[in-house]
Amino acid sequence: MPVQLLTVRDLGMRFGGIHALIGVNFSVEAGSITALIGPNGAGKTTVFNCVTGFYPPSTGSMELSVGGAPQDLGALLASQFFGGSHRIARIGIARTFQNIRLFRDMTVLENLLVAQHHSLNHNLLSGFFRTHSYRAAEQAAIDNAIAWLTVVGLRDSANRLAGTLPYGHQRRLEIARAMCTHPCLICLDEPAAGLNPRETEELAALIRQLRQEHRATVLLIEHDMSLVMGISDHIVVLDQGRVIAAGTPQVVANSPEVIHAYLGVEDSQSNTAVPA
Amino acid sequence: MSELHSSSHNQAAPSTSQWRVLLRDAFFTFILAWIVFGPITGLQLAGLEFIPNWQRPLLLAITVTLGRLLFLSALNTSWLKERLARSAAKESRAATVQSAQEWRKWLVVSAVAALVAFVLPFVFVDNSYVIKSLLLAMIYVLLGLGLNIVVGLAGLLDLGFVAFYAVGAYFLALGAQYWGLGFWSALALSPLLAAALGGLLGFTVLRTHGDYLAIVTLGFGEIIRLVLTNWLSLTGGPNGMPAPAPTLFGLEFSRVSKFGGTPFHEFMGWSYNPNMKFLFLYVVLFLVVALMIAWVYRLRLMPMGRAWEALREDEVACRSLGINPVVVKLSAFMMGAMTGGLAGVFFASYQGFVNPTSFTFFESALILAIVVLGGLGSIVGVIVAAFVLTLLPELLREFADYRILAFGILMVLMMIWRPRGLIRTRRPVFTIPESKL
Amino acid sequence: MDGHIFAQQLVNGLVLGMIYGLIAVGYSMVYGVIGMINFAHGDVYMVSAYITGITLSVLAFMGVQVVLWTLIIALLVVMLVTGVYGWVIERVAYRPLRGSPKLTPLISAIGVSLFLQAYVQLSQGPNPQGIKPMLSGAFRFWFGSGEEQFFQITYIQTLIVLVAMASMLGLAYLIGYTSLGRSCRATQQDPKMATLLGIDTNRIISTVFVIGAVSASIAGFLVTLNYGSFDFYIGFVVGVKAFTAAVLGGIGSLPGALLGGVLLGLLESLFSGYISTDYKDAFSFSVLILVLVFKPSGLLGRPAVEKV
Repeated sequence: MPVQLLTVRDLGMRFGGIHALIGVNFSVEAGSITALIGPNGAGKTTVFNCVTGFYPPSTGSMELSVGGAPQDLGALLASQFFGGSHRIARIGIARTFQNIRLFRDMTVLENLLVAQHHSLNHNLLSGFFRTHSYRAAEQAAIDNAIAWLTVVGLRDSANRLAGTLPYGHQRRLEIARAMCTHPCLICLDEPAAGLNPRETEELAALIRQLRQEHRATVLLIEHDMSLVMGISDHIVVLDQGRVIAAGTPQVVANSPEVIHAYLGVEDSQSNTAVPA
Repeated sequence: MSELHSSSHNQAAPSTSQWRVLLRDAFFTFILAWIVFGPITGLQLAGLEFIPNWQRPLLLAITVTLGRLLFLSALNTSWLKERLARSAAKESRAATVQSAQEWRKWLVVSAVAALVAFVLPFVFVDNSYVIKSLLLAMIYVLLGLGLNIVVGLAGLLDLGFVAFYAVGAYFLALGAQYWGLGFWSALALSPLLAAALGGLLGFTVLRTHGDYLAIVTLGFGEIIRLVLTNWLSLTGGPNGMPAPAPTLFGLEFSRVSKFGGTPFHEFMGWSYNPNMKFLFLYVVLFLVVALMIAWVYRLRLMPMGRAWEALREDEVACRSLGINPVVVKLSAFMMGAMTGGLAGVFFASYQGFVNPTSFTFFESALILAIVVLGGLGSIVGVIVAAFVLTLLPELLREFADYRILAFGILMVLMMIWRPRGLIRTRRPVFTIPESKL
Repeated sequence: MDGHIFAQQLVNGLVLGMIYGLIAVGYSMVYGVIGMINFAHGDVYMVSAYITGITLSVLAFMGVQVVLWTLIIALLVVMLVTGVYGWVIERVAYRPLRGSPKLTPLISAIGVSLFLQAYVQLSQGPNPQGIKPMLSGAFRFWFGSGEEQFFQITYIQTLIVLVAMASMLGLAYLIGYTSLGRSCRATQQDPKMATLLGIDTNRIISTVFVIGAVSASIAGFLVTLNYGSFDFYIGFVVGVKAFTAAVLGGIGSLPGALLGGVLLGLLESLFSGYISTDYKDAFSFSVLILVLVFKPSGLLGRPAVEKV
C-alpha cells in the first residue's frame, strides 16, 4: 500500500468574499512526482501557500505523514508567535517561489548555508571562539552545500552573488537551496517559467534526479504541459478553486472536464494546449 | 556645427534649439529659486516687522541657476555620461566578494589604524579638546555598530535607536542617585536593561515593515525622550541629573577624593591631570569597541548573523527555510539595543550629567546616517563614517551654524549619488575543493 | 463632569483635528501614489507658517487694511509658495530615487527635513516669530445656569473649520470628479498600467506632492492665525501627529485623512484636558504605535494581503 505523504482534505480558502478554494481533496504519494495544473486563477498557488503554511486555510485539513505518523499542518500554523510557516518547513516541506526569492546580495554558497540554519551550531560563544564542534558543523554544512551545487551544476558559481546569476541558474539555485533543508516533500512553484526548451529538459532531468537519487517527493505547479506530461506520475487539475480531475497523465489528458476548462466554450482562460 | 575640443569623441556644440532649451530651463529655475528663497531668506521677520535682505535670495538664485545650467550642459557631454554610466554600474552591485589578498591588506591597514587610534589621545595628553573629541567619536562608533546590526544586517528601519542610548545613560545617572551604582556596575547592567527594552520594542513591531516600522520606532524614541523630559521627580526633567565619573578599583580620577580613599593620581605618584578621567574612559571604551568589532565581525559569519541578513533580503524566503522571523528580529533588536545601552553609560560618564536634549530625534538620524553613509552592514564603513561625521564638524568649527544644513544636504546627495554608502560590504569567500568528477 | 468643559474640549479637538486632517492629506496622497512616507511634509507645513507670517507682515507694511483682502491674498500667496516648495522637493530629492529600496528615499526625506529646519532657522533666526492678532472674538454657548459655564468657538476657530471643510470638499471633488483626479487614482492603484494608458505618472506624482503641500499650507496659514506664533521646529511633532491621523483613517484614503485627523484631534484634546497636558505628545505617539501595530490599514483602509 503506497504511503500518502501529503493528504489534503476539503481544503477551502476565502479572501473576503472570494472563494479561492472550495473543497479541495487530493493526496501526494510518497516518492512520486505530482503536478498541480489548471487555468490561471484556478487556485494552484493558493493551494501551495496553504500547504507550505503561508496562508492559514479557512476550512479543511492538511496532513503530512512524518515517520509514519500524520502531522496536522494547520495546527502548526495556529500557535500565535511560535507557529507559522517556518514550522512547516522544519517538519520537511520545502518550496520554491514563482518569482524566485533568493537572497540576492549574498553569495550562492551563503544562500545554501542559510538553508541549513538548523543543523549549525547556534552557540554564540562557540561561534565567537570557533570551537571544534562549531567548525565541524559548519564544514558539514559547506560540504552539503557544495554537494548540492554539484547536483544542480552551479559548483563554479559558489562564491558569486546570487543576484548576478543568469535566470535559469537562479531557478536551479532556489531548488538546491530548498533541498538543503532535507525535506521529504518539495513544492516547486512554476519551476519552468521563463526557461527555454533546453533548460526545461535539464529541469525535468533534475526533478527526476531529485526523486530517484534523493528520495524526495515532488509537488509542482506548472503551465508547461510537455514538462508536466513528461515527468508526472499523478496530476491534479484545478479550475476555479475546485478539483475537476485527478489521475495519471493519460487519464487527465483525455478528461472532458479538463479539456473544457482549458479550451472552454464561453470563457477561454488558458492558452496552453492539452496534448490529446 | 563646429567641433569644440580635441577629445577623441566628436563633440558638437549645442545647437541653437538646445541653447534655447537650456536658457528656458535656466529662466524657469531662476524664477523658481526666487519663489523658494525669496520670502524666507529675503524678508527676515523681526517682531511684527520684517528686514528686507535682497542679497541672500539673489545670491542663492544665481548660484542655483548657474549650477543647474552647468550640470545640464555637462550632462550632454559624453565625458560625464560615461562617468555616470560607469558609476551606476559599480553601484548596482551591492556587495563584492573578497579575495585573500584584499583581506590581508585590510588586516594591515586596520592594525595600523587601531594603533594610531589608541595612541592618539595620549599624544595629546594635555589637550582635553582632542581627547574629548576622540572619545565622542568612539562613542558614535559603538552606536553605529549597534544600529548597524539592526538596520544594516537585519534590514529593520529603526529611527528610535536613541532610546537605548538614553536608557543606558540615564541608568548610570539614576543608578548612582538611587542605588549607589558606579560606572562599572552600570556598564555591566545597562546592556541587560537595554536589551530587555529592545526585546519589548521588537516584539511590538513584529508585524510592521518598511516605512511604518521606521515611524513606529521614531515614536518609541520620542516617547522615551518625552517621559525623561516630563518626569521631573525622577529624572530632573529638562535640567537633567548628574552622572558619576568612572573609577578604577575605587580610585577616583578627581583631584581630591570625594568618597574618601586616595585619588588615582596620588596612588600612581603622578601630578593631577584633569584629562586622566577622559583618558581612562577612552581606554576602556577602546577595548569595548575593539571587542564589539570582533563580535560583530564573527556574528556575521555565524548562523545568527546570516539569519539577520537573510531576513533583510527576503523574509518570506526565510520562513520557507524554517527560520523563525520572530526570533531573528528580536535578537537583532536586542543585540543592537545592548550596544546602545553600553554607549549611553560611556556618554553619561564622559559628560558628567545627562539631560534629554542629548537624546533627540536628530541623534537617531545622525546614527542612522553613520550606518547608511558608511555602508550598510560594513564594519569599516561605520567606523570611518562615525569618525568623519563626529570630527568633521569639530574641524569646521567656524561653520558650526551650518552643521545641520550641511548634514541635510549631505544626506540627500549621498542617497542620490551613493545610496549604498561609501564602503561596500564584502561577502565571505569559501574554498571549493577541486571537482572530483 | 462639567458639561461645558467637555464641550470645550470637543470644540478644541475638532478644530485641532481639522488641522491634522489638512496635513494628513499630504501624507495620505503621497503614500498612496508612491508608497513613501514624505518625512519632510511636516517641515513644509512649518515653512508655510513662516510664509504666512512674512506675507501678513508685508501686506501690513504695504498698508493693506481690509482684513478680508489681507487674508485672501495671504492665503493665495502661501498656497502658491508652499506648492512650489512641494514641487521642488519632489523633483530634487525624491524623483531621482524612484525605484530604490525603501531606506534610500526615507534617508533623503530626513535630509530634506533637517535641511528645511536649518534653512529656516538660519534665515529667520532661532527665536519664535509672531503675527499681529487678527479676528478676536468668539461665539459663546452657555451650558446650564452659571455665568462661567460656557464653551466657545472663536471666530478664527470657526474660520478654520469652514476653510478646512471647504478645502476637503474641493479636494474630494478634484480627486473624485476631474480627469486629473482620475489619473491620480489610477496611478495610485497601478502605476505601470497607468503609464501604459498614457498617463504621465511623473506629472501626476508631482501634482500629488503639490496638492499635499498646498493642503498643508492651508493648515499652516490657519494655525498661524490661530496661535499667532511659530518657530522652525513646529513641523516635526505636528508632522508625526498628522501622519498618525493619516494612518488612523486609512492611508491612501482622503475621507480617511479627515476622519483620522478629527479623531486624533478629539482624542488628544480630551487627553490633554482630562489627564495631562505635559504628556499629550507622548499620548499621540502612543496612538501612532497602537494603530501601526494593531491596525495598520486604519479605519477606512483595506487590509493588504501579503503576496507570496
